[in-house]
Amino acid sequence: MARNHFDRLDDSSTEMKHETLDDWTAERLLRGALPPDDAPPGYGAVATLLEAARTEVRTTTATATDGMVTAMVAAVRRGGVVPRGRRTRAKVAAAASAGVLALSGGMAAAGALPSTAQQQVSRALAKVGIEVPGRGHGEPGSGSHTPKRDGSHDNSGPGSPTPSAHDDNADPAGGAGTTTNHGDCVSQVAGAGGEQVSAVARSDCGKPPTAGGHAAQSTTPAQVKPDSKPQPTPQGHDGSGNGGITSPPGSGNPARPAHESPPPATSAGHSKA
Amino acid sequence: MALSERFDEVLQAAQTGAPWALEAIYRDLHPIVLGFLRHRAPNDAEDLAADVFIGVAEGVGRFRGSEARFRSWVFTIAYRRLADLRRRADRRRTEPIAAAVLAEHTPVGDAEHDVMLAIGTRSALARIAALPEAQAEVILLRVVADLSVDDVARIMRRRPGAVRALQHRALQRLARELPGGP
Repeated sequence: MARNHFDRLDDSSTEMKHETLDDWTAERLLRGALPPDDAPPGYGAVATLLEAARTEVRTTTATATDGMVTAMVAAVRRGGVVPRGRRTRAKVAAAASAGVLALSGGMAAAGALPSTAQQQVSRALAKVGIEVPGRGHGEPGSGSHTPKRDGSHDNSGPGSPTPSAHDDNADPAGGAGTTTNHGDCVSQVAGAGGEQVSAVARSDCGKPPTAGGHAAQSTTPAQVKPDSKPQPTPQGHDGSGNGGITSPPGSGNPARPAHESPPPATSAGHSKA
Repeated sequence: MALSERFDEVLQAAQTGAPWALEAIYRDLHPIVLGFLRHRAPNDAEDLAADVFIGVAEGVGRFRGSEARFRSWVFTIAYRRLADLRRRADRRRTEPIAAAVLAEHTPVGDAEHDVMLAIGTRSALARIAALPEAQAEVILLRVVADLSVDDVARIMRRRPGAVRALQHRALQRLARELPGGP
């Protein structure tokens, strides 16, 4: 087999002895397609050794499978769906959207958006059960409410002897014209005396909208500032002694937004009229 | 190997995170990945192998190709993990085996076949691992991982001709060192 002049075993050039191992033979040797007996002289042991190495790894059983598979499942979900760049962009977009929504929602709740925007936001939020004024600041109808969905029946409880006070058609001050406040409402019917004055006094005429979404139905919209605070009076105008701000007992928390209020007993409240 | 005919089905399921498919991949490839790593980084082989399969799971959703390509891709990950480990550890490029250890595995006598049986498989891999690093890696990837010259060249970022030269030298060296060799 020796094909050169180097015979010493410790000579590094002894590798040259096997330089004639052609690619095809080497390939068969490495693929395990060359039995030791068929191997070129000197390579029988190599064929045996490679086969032994091949056997060892293929008879080994994978260990710790359960924990590893669980980790792999998590890794697939972590890395296999969205490329990292997209994930980052999605997070940025989500954060920006949340910021815009929070800002516009806050402004809408204050009725501070321009009319069109206010209406859009109001409609959008109404779909998810959040009531905000439907018109912009200073616009007609600002501070109005949607009486069928909100807590406009706060006064329909026992402490509210004029349950129809919020009904436009039933408002005794309906013909009172423009008023700036509840006092004006009452003043305008002062001459009528007795029952009518009492009824108007118990109504919400001229009152600013409450947290439950109430608004004075008879007031001129332009005269009502949406951000104006209701002024509690020592003696409530609704007869409940709450200054028109708080609800009568049993009507729920007036400070609670309309969408958080329990469903109003509309027919019952109005039937008292 | 075990996947063979079911490979496409297994791959598709694995890409959706199906545990059974990921387990099939793991069971099929873990032994050979570990076998490769064990002889390149004995102390870290288990951890490296786990790391490799996490990497496989993270990237399997984007993999496209045949089973052979998949195997090559898995070993590419293994090889890179190994390289990372070496960089971190700043190890020497070779891990020489003490002469006493080699002598323990060196058989005496002339009967090649009987001697090799006496050596056993573990020493067979040890002998391969004792080759110079590049030669050992080529032989392990070709024999243990059952990869082609082109796959090994891609993994090791060498030319196919260079890989062939390495495997030739490795085989010659083994032949020289083993009993019955010239």
